[in-house]
Amino acid sequence: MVSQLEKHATSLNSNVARSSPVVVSEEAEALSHSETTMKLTPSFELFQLLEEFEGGKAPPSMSGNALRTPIQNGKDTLAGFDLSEYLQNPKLIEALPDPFKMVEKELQPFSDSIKELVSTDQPILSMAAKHFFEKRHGKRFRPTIVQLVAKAVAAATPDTGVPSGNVQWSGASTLAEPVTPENHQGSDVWRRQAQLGQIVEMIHVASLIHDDVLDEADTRRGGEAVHKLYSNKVAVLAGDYLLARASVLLARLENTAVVQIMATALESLVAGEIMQLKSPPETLLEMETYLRKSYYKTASLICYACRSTALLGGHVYDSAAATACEEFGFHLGLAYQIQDDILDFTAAASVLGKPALADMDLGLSTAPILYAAQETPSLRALVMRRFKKKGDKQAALEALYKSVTAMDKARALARFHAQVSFDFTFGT
Amino acid sequence: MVSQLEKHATSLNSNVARSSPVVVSEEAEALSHSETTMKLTPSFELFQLLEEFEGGKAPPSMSGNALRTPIQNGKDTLAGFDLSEYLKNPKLIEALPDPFKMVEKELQPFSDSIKELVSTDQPILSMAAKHFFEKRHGKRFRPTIVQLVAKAVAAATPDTGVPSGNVQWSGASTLAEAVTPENHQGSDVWRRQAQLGQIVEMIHVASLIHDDVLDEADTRRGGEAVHKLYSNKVAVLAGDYLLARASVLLARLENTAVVQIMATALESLVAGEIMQLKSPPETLLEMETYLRKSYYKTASLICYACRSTALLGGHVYDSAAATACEEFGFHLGLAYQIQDDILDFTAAASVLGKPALADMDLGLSTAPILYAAQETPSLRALVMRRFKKKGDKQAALEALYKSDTAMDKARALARFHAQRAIDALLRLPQSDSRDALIRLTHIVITRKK
Repeated sequence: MVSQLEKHATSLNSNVARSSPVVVSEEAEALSHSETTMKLTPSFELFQLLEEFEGGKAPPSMSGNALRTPIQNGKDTLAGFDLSEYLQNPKLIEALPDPFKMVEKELQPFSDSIKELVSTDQPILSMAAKHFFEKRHGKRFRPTIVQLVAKAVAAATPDTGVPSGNVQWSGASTLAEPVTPENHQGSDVWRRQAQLGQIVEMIHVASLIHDDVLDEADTRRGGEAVHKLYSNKVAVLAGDYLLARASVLLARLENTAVVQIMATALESLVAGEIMQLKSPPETLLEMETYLRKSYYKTASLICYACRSTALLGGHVYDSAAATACEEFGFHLGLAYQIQDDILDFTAAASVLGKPALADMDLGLSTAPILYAAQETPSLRALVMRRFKKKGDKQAALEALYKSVTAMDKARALARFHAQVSFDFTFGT
Repeated sequence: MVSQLEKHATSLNSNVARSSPVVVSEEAEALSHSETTMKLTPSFELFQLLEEFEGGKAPPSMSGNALRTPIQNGKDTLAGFDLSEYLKNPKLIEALPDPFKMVEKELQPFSDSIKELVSTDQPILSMAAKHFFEKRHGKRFRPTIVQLVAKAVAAATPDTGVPSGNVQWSGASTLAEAVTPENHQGSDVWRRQAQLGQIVEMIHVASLIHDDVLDEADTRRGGEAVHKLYSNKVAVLAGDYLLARASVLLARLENTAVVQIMATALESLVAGEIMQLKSPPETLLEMETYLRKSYYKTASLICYACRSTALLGGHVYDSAAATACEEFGFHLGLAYQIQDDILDFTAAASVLGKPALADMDLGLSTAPILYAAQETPSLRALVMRRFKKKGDKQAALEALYKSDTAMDKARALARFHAQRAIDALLRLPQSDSRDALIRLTHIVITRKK
């Protein structure tokens, strides 16, 4: 157990060297930077990836996570919210407002605008894009998050923050008047934040469409994968169109910091795919590798969108509000992915819309398998060779089912991240 | 002939309706716009697409093309430059500076940085990307153009321009001090403009890599198409990575107008691919359709990069300098594409690096075929069905070779745009870099490969 922790600690120390799957040289970076451009630290170096007993530790204070103080405007009835109580008694959560219903109506014009993006002059392309927007079982998850974060930060007075390090920029949108909960709805700020939610959705869907070309998945989200119904050609084009359109809309938000942050989110998505394509085999066993990959593939888009929503609302990059937003999105994104990976084993294909074991079919090991491999040394070689040999997947499954603790540990990891995401507070 | 002109005039009038292959509703657009966001007019509505005798006409003055006055700082030895003289006597052009040699050295660190972008930790991906940057026969065409335009506009004093319409923004980068030819080299402005050139190259290469997934071309630019050497999977990923990286670098230029313009360029590239995928058959015969598609696929990236280079240099969007830049890039891009399409018929595969008739294999009709179809009515059905039937391509080729005028008309169209490109350049003050761009334009339409 100790050697495992030591190993984890060592690997965390070499985080910096391995933090990006694609390394850009310092010289190349220097050519693109000036004194005022943003030097973003990847979110998993700002916030905690793993619990201490698994070798994780709280990252040091730096630009991006320096201000983690609560912003209180009054009494908080949910102070000290303990997720485990609400898991033990599921009825309790219904006292809180329904997130999807709250913003469904105001999001409608923006989501309609995505469907209209693709004219009927191009039936093949419009079918491909609509496929995802109409047939998906997703609940417009990301735009809902962005919209709720937008409202939540409207309740926090924009503060100048405490710049840590050499921060010469603030990133906050220049606003005619400060945002308040009273003037937020229907304002230009509100409109831009809602647009950001749609931009995030477009980037997400574009990555799914391209991902299908990558994964050759047979089904995706309850419908045929785009590239099976239509050629790879159309799938690449549909994804490229959504990305290009998202870029135009992003630029129109007229906040250069937000553009830099969201461009970095896009880069992270692709980096995550690259990590998935080819990682050094020995790293495949490490929980940090898995969590970093989950950050790149899933959490980065969400947490960067949350930080950006605060900036659009007039908060500076290093403010308590903007930091809380990114930290929330970071942990929520990881919790979401870990739960998704758990469901890959526990839910039937008919419910999920994709066959179970999709990850293993691609040679990918996720939290449940990794915890099983910690317990069962014979599983490690299978993980490292990405289940290539005949019988590997079955052997891995059996090891997982035999394990008394693996699935519970995965659930605990998801809960850890969910709890930490609650551990920020806004005043109301 | 008259009815043909009438037809063209009518189709030009319906330009607005058909100007974008993908239509975004006004409501959707309104949700993303504010008073200060840019409302860009497609360049082919700002500048002339066709000569008058073919039904083209000079577009009306509007934001984007309002200021087309010359900026003169002194004597211009190339005033009234007539391309046809320089085509008759090719030695004459050598009096102008060599465009590629002029900027080769200063571009080196920036192009090295692209190669370094993909680390050796990811050998498959790095091979895919390097494939294009190292094995390509291209001469870093786009970064060269951007760098020369950057130098050329440094010689034009930034002016406030004459805002036409309700232009509440200028788009010009905020600079500590005004750019001059003396302080330009090595400055932050120079650095950003050189970065823009690399960004343009990255976007271009990404589109080529993705295009190969689309076209399933067997060879591309002298090497195996990326997706034949590596899977479609890697090709999509390599292209996506370059686009994402380009987006980050673009954002770091810290000019929101430039980001809007270049994002629109990226959107235009994709729109061009969409147009190629599926156009209404009757439009396939029209020269405007072909030229608009050539704008979307080729010229838009170049002309928007040129306008952006001027903005980075401190010129406002509606200035004479910035307008001249976009107009130059627009016509140069079209001339380049038309020449490329001519070479598709005249150059052998070994020289071009791709088999001749690549366009026809994809069912695409370009300038030479379109002019032949104007002359030979039986060719029109073949164009409209995209050469699907057995023997169609051969029949089209024969019609083209039989025609006395088709190839000449295509060459004339390329020359028209090249002259217009030079006319735009002549509005900028004379400088070595501006003259090098004139020579570059000459190279574009005289190249044999």
